[in-house]
Amino acid sequence: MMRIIRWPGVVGFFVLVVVVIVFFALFLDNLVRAGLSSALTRTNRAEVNIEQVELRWSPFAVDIKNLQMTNPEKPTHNRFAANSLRAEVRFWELLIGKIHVEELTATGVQIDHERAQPGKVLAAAEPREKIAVRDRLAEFNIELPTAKSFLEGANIATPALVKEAEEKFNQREQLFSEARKNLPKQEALDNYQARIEAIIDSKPRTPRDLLAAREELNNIKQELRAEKERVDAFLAVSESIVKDTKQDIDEVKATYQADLDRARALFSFDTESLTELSGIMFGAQVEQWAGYALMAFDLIAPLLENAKENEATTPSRWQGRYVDFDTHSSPTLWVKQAQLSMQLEELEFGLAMQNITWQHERINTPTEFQLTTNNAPGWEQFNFNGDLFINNLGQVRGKQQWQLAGVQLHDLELIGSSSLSTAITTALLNSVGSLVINNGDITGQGDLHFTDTDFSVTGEGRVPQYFGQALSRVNTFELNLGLSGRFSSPKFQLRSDLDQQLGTQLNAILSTEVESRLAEVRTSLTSDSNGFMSKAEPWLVQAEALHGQGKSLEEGFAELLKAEVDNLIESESERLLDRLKKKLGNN
Amino acid sequence: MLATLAKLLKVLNSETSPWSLAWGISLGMVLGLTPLFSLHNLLVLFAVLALRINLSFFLISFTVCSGLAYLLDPAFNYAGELLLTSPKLLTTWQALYDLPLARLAQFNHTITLGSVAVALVLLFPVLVMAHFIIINYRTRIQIRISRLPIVNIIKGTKFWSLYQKASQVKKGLSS
Repeated sequence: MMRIIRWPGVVGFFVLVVVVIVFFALFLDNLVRAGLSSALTRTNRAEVNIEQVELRWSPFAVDIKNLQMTNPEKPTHNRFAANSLRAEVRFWELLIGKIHVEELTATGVQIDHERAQPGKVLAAAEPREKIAVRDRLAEFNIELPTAKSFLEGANIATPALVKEAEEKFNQREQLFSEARKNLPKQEALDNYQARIEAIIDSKPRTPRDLLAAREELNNIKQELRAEKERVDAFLAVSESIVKDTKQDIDEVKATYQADLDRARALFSFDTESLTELSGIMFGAQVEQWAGYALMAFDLIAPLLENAKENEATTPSRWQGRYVDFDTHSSPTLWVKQAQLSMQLEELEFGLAMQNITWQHERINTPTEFQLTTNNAPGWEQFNFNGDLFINNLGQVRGKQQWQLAGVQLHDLELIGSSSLSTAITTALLNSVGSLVINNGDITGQGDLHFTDTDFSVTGEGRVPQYFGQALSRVNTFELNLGLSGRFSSPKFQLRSDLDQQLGTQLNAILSTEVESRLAEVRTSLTSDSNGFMSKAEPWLVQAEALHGQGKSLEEGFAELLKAEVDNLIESESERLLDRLKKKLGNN
Repeated sequence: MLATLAKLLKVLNSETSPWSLAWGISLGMVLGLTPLFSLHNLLVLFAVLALRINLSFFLISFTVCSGLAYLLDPAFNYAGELLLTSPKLLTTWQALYDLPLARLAQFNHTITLGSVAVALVLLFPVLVMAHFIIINYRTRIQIRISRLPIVNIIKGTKFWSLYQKASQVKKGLSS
């Protein structure tokens, strides 16, 4: 028996074991640090830095110092950073690939904190479009255009139209004069009348007289036919000239009015166009507040989603996988209690979370969270809580609500640039809101009620001046924040009665200026169109009268051309003569 | 390399127990085929060091089988998956799951279990086969090989002198 045992080998084995234990005792912390950084980086989809890791054996715990998790959408900032973090982990679960944390405590937590160097991102997120405040303000055109700049603008149509109409009018006037020469002279008409009266006065009785009368009438008719043709030619020309000139005059009048209306619209503020003004002023600040409101979801949800995706990925045949035989069906990751203390804008908050996991159906309990504050002077009410549940199909549902009352705001910067700087000097803020997550889609809204507001506005140009005057008259307003989209990347919509209030105030401030500039435009447009209108309108009256006269002549000639001698002499003679007299001017 | 080969030939041609050499080969195979940092490999290592098992053959076998294991990992994964998902074995796995020692052994990892199972199945066939080959080598093959002309050529090389040197050292130590 003693021959088959190799005693130096037994000693060597134990020496080897001791060496291995010493090696791990010396380097285990660093090995864990490297492993943890790598695993968290995969889960976070961006660089995770850990300064130091210490393992405690009883109870088994991991102490992490200076943890920084890069925000994959903004690599210059950390999504989450903590000065220290302690996780009491269940050792035996760890051995079979499960992470069960009994208690997680983190101090010095910072959200959206700037990194010393940008972190590496595993999968780059699409950058969000950002528009500079100044560009956004320019869209509202708060600076009024001058009358001169308006009149020089391409939108003014009256001067060009008047010029064109004047040229056409001059040509038509000439054409009309030419055509007018075709109308018979008064002497010629008198002559026709005298000759017809002579036929009637002759009262032919004998066939010879009748023949002579008929011949004379035929001669007159022949001459009248030629006259009628000339009158027809005049009518053909004059009709289109009168119609076109009338149309031009109407068009000039309409364009003049349209230009005036356009000027009025441009000079006056349309309150509808100011609906985004509050978004520009409060957008950045409200987005930051909304970010705080969604902090719990922001912290938990992406990590859980990424971890779940990592777990769901088919394991490599070269790496294998752990098969779960847990009869209690405990989750793969389960943080039973977490307590995070953080500083947000000079206030200390505590975020308590229970049952963080992505396998909620295994414990039949949602992840719950509550936010509390200890050093918020003057806050009359603060409730903030919610929950999150991910079912086996990976569908996320949850809810969150908050009530906040009595928050005194001081020197809250809204827009900060050299051209325009706006800040709330003092205001009292109350807020209430809620949101629901259903199958990963978020819907919710929050109301922010500001009272006793006092603004300060500084900057270059007239915009700050208008703003300052308008805002000084605003005392109370509401901001309504709408939340929608995927819960991992929510979208914000901002509505406010401040837009309407500001629009009304700006309208009142600018109304005097608007009227004087409008009068200037009216004068200019009137002088442009007056020259043409003073000529064209009286001329059109005359042309219409001549056209009517020509028409009467043409009708008179037509009737005479149908007349016969017997008719002239007998029953019809008087009537025809009367009508002819009327057509020819009652003489 | 030549020295190692000489050492191996020396051991093979010496009077070292054939079982010692065969166990070295088979336990080296177990260590090589299965994940190195596993609880069962601690037992294997203890057995190799504490018992008179030939270390040279153990190390050679371990090196060769480690290389093979990289190629065979998908097969081990398949075998482990088959065993761990077998409904007949479910109660056994569930019972083991509650044992801390079994957890330390990482029995529920597909490649670990698959490779251990394959190594255990191969252990005794490899042991018996190795023993058979060593015995036959010593009684028949060794004499025939020494008569071959090529061996006479080899005897004039540096390799042969190393082999002789090793044999003399062994004799010196034993006397």
